[in-house]
Amino acid sequence: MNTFQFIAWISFLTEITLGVYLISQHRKNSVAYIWGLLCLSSSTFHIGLIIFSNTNILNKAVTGWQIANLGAILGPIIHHHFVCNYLNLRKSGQIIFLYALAIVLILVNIMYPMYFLGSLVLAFDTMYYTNRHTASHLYTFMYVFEYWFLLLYSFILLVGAYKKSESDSRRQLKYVIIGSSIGWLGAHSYFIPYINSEIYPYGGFLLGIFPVIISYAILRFRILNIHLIIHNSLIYSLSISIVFITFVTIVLLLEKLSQLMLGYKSMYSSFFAAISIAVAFNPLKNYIQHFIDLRILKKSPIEIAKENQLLLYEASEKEKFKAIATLASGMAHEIKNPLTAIKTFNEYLPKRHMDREFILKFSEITRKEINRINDLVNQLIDYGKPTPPEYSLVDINGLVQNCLDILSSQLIKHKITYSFEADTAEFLSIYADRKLLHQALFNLILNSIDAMPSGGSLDIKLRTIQNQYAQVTLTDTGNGIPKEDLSNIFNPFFTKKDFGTGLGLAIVKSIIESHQGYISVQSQVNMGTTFLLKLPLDAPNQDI
Amino acid sequence: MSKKILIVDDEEGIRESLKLILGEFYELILVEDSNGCMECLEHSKDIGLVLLDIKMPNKNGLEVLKEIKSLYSDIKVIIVTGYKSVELASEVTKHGASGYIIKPFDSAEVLKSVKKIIST
Repeated sequence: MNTFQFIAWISFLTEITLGVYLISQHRKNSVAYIWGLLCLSSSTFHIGLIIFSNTNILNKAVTGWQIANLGAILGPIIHHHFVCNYLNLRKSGQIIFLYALAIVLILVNIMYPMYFLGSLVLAFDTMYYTNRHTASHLYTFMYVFEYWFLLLYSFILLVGAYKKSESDSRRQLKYVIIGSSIGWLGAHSYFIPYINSEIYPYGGFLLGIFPVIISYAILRFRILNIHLIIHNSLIYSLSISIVFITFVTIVLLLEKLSQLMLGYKSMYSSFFAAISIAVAFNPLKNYIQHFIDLRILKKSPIEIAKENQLLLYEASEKEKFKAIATLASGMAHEIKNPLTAIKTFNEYLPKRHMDREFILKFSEITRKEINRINDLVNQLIDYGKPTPPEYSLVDINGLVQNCLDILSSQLIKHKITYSFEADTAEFLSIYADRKLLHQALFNLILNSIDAMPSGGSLDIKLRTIQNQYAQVTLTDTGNGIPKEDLSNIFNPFFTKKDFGTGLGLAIVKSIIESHQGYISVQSQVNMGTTFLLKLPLDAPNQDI
Repeated sequence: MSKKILIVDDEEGIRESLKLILGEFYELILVEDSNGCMECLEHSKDIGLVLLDIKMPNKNGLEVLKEIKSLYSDIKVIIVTGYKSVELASEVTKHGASGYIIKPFDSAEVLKSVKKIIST
């Protein structure tokens, strides 16, 4: 096996593992799914490459090229589909056209390979390669259109988006742009011998690296365990390779053995080989896993788990920060009210200081307003401080009203009308950590705001159920949640937004549940969503 | 100017501030919420201007604005808000507000705006 093939094998194994993983585990995340398809198509290219580079029988080489071309034709097209999907650009017409074009090219490739490929030329004395002088115009067209025109177009879209992006998406885009550039440099190197059959396609290995870089970008910024992904992919690739080799060796050996002993090849030999592989696979896999962890990744399973915890904490803090930023702006707005009274009375002080009535009223109002400002500032400080949960009797009625007050300017800004209806004006006490409950309600309202980009309404109702529970329902008239996603929305890192970490609702659920409460959701696409929270009322209202 | 001014705000501090500024020059009615506002408008026939807080519990100031303008089209409404934005300004003007005051307000500015709007 030469270097060329070795690289192709590694690329093939990595891509097929990543591709299968992405497609099977991330069916709902279309970006990851399409990327998985690209990995698979690239792996097809590599398998074809392995075949045609391994033979000097023309027919076999042609078959190899046909398989490789499957990947080559689809590659830039799936990549373009990926870019459009990733950047949320609606270009379905374009994409359908491109896939139709791909189908045509693939059909010609399958049915008329001699025409499509032209005569293959023996390059580097070792393998048959296409050549621009002998290949059909259709093949040349495919190369120029897809690998120059289409790829350039995709890049222009990526760079354009990069210029307009910020922070997290910028970082991810950077990985995507760099990864894509590397990948396509690699792909182009495979066309070098096509242009000049004297030059060896050295850069080809780059094509194998780029699925890894981009998968890292997609997964790291969405879910935690990219280490686990690369780590698992390596394990599975290696395990598959080792198992494959072992299986073949055992079968061959047993066949030889049975031939010697019985005079014929027995099928029991394959049977036996299969059973021994099945038995040995798991321990073998674990051994390889351990080996990779210790020698290659140089991390113990505990360290990897700790890293994941850290990433989880990081993402959770990011989510909290976003909430604080909104809280801060809401509170800043809230502070303007008490400031107004103080300012106005201050303006009149020089003129009216002799007026006893004015002085009495002035000092009373100013005193109250200063206390209000102080409370608001304290709330903000509390929210920012990472403190352990502090339980006390919290008035859920007042809490909801407070959240709404703080977010009112945001709601108005987004043209959302809101209402709050409680079946009692009394203090409804819940034994809770005020900060956490506040955060939960806050997150829910923020989600509703996000769901109504062009305005709508948010109605919150508070009911007491049998004197045992407080039930809060938040109903918005937003985009709604598709039925197939409803069971997933409380899962950590599940998100359909291209911002945020997908943790908001998971955090809300964990807060509600840690208060012995219950949260559920009902939704209809384009009609709206209702979140229902049930929290147990505190002891005096409840007999436990 | 015999027209009265109706001040609608859920905060005592804001109501008292506006009373301080405008009380010398105009007859004022102060209410706490949208219900009080609509009731007053129904019973008093010589209200020329309403100073309306945009953020109140229960009913959104914008809704109240629309209601006032639809029932009493010749009564002027000035929106009082802590939020300074072009979108809000165009939104309230679209629904009939004659102007808006941003909190915390400058007493001279308030007086000037009110004088201008109530006399047109």
